[in-house]
Amino acid sequence: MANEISKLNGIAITSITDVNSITDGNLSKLNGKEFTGSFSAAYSNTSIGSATTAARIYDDERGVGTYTTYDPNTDQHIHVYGDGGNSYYGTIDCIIKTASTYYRGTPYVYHSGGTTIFNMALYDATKSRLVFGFEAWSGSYYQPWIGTANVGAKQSSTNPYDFASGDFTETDSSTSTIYNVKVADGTTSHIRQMCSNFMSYNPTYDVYMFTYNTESGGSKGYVKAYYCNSDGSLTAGSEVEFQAGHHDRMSLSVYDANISRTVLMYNTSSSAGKIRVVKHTGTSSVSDRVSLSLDSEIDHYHLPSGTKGGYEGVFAQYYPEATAIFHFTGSTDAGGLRYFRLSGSDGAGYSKVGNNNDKDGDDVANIWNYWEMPSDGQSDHGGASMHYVKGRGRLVLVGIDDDHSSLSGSYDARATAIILEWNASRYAAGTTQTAEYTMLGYTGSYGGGVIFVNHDIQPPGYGAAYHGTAWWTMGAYGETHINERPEGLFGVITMDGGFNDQIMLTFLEPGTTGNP
Amino acid sequence: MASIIRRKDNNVVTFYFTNLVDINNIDLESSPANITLNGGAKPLRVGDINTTTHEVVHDVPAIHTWFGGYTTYDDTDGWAVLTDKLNAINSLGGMDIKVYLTQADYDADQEG
Repeated sequence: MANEISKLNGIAITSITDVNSITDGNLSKLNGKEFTGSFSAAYSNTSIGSATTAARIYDDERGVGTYTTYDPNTDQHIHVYGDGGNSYYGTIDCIIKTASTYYRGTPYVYHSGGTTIFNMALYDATKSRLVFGFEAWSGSYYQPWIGTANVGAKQSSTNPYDFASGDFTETDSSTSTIYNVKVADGTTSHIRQMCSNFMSYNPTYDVYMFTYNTESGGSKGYVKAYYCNSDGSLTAGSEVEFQAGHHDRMSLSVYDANISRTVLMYNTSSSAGKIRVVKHTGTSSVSDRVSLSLDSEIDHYHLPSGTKGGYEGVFAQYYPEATAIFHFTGSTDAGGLRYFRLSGSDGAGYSKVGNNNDKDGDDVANIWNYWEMPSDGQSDHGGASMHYVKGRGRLVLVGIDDDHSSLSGSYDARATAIILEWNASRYAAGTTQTAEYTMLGYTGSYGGGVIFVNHDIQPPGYGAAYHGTAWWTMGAYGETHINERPEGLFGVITMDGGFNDQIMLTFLEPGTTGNP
Repeated sequence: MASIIRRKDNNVVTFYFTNLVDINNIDLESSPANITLNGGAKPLRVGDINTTTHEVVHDVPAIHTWFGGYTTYDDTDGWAVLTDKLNAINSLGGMDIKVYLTQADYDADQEG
């Protein structure tokens, strides 16, 4: 839980500006307990480099299943992706960001056994270990993998760390720390994941929760817990089936700090969605941590199941200030935003608070209208992603309009973002959260408060800046809810058609103060 | 001509290079395998191949369009496309992976 420590040697946390010269904005933990202290930052949105700079173009080819995390121990971003310039093999590298330049490390291929389409990475700052997952082609089927890696110090202020083989083995042996979550074979057929959503961290039990879905054999959904050991190896629990009879690979897990449990969200038909709370045996042993059981299934809302490309974008986030989970809704594409709050206990069971249409859970009305994003099912919907930003108390929504009204021509795609802030006064008054009361920079006009977060780019040999023909959202700004970043959000989207590149988003500091 | 890295157990071609000035640019003995590319590109490090599982073959005939995992190269029979596997992944949508051994193969697909 945040702010567990209220005083240090009798001094109120909010009065401390630094500890051993580390400013509180960069101090993430104290004696293993989370430390936020007082922190303030003003909203800003920064383009880095000029329209022609290569720094804005991450790679020469499209990346699939991209995701970015941050390592506060070495102050580097870590980027995973299927490298379109190299047969979509699973690839990783470190990035250093300065005020005007990005510096990339040497790409390291961690999986060349097949096309690697979905990749995620979450840095564990306590254990100084990266935990990553991917979905890769086995030769005949897609199947899920999980692994861990060491991340070394940057070589210099302009030269990031380069991964080596020893980073992907146990610290005291040459045993690999990359594991097949479930083997696809002729019986089980494909085992699919939900891009950008298949893995989350549960701090109460210190485990990584992995969801995957079998195509045949009953079309089942499973969750499995992994504990990261001190040598970098992972201990897995037994898989637990949470649904059968429907396959659209739309299942995810999100940690709910209000009940200190992981919540599963998934579809059970083309129109129905469900949620379930995951229970663990305990914390007295690793086997207890990874031993799972499920609470009863609760009716909920359908997750969009036809997002362009690889079903990309982060679809759900826990919002601590709201003590609620926010998530996208829709039939095909994200076309709405909803939140819900849970209460209960392992013994008595869990349930939603309220009736889905009150202060404890509701559709955040009018968001899509004022954001001016394409609606559910529109052909120019390029996907959407959401990112709760730790230390800022704000939720960033990123979306792509493949045919933005303010641009003409073929290169007319645009990535936009809005920032929401939970309105505690509305909640206290017993009223619901709507765009008018949560969207920062709301003006009453469509497009008010909307931020453009894609850089213009100038591909080699072309004389003008382009916005791209279309994009995929992918992990967008990546992981934002485990490690507080040093300053703002970093991530990429990937172009679909035209110039096939990974494009860095503008550097967004959602701030604790100020509005777009 | 080209250089390739292929799996020893089934001849599946994992990497394909037509721009290596020096064949010594492929170092499978290092860990990770290290491949130095031309044209100012960053070197490539590959962690999951080694001389136990993979081998380098030089002076292989170049093909029109290559993609990792969907072709084999046999020392006697030459190139072959793993059509079933290629059709299987493309049938799922989203990837649209293309492999053509010759210009004629490419032209035929364009006309089709």
